[in-house]
Amino acid sequence: MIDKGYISGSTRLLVLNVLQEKACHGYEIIKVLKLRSNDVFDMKEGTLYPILHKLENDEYIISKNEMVNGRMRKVYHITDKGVKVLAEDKAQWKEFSSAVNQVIAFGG
Amino acid sequence: MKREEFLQLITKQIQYVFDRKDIEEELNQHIEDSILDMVDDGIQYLEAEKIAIQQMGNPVEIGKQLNKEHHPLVGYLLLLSKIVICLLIIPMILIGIILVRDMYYVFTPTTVSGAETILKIHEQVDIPTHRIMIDNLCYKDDTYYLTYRSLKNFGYSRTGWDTDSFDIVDVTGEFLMGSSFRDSNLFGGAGYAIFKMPEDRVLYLRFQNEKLVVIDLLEYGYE
Repeated sequence: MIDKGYISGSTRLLVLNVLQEKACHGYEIIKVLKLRSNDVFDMKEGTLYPILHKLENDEYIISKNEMVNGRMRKVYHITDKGVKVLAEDKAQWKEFSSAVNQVIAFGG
Repeated sequence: MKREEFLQLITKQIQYVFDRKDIEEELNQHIEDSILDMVDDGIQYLEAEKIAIQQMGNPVEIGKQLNKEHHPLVGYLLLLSKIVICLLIIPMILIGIILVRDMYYVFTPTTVSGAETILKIHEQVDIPTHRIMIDNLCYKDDTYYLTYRSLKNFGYSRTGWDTDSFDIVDVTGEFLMGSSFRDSNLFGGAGYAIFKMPEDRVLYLRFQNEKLVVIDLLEYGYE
């Protein structure tokens, strides 16, 4: 399992990225993250909710109560503000990761 | 750990109690989803529930993190503002109803209930404090009524009593009868004066500032 510090630093990026494709409830987000990362992002599932609620407080996402498969679910949608911050996060992440890659390339 | 116990450990950390139920419901739905997926994979329900709860993580830690996002001060301020708005709306509705009612009075000519309106007078009299509309001459049980409405002049600063009432005097200025005030509202009031029909069918109305208005009932078509 990957160090938690790496995950928590980039959760905003990961969660917003999932929500940009499709509005999801919490469990769906976890499933998509696990699937896409080949189970590397196997975070404790409950810890997603403080992150979601923070993103909502910051107005990057909004939640709506919607009927999903016959059950009332809290479904999260990305906002315009969220789309904007996601683009910024992505650009930053690319810059950062390419810099890291360049540095570790020398280690052999 | 049982599901209820797990959820309670989380919600106990949330100081803003009004958000507890929503949070509990959201997490409960998550656990339910997780269980159903495992049951689909052939795991027994109770076993799946145990695993699902384990996968959630430390409830106290989750609760503490959630509490940061559901700050009690913000929550209670929001609640307070909602209550204040409600409390303001109720008196505003009441004032609105009173305004509409009073507007209705102001624009509706007065009569005496049960009496016959025998003459429309509709004479406007302006005094410093009020605009007075002498409406109708009514008759009931050997008694004549002169009905009127008054509208306050809002620009006028008042001292003491409202002064829209008037006396009915004879040609020499001697007092015969005073008007009786019947109803008062935000904009003014309404009332009537009872009088004995004079021989010459002429009424002298003396207002508070000694303004005298002569109403010759014959001119208004009295027979």
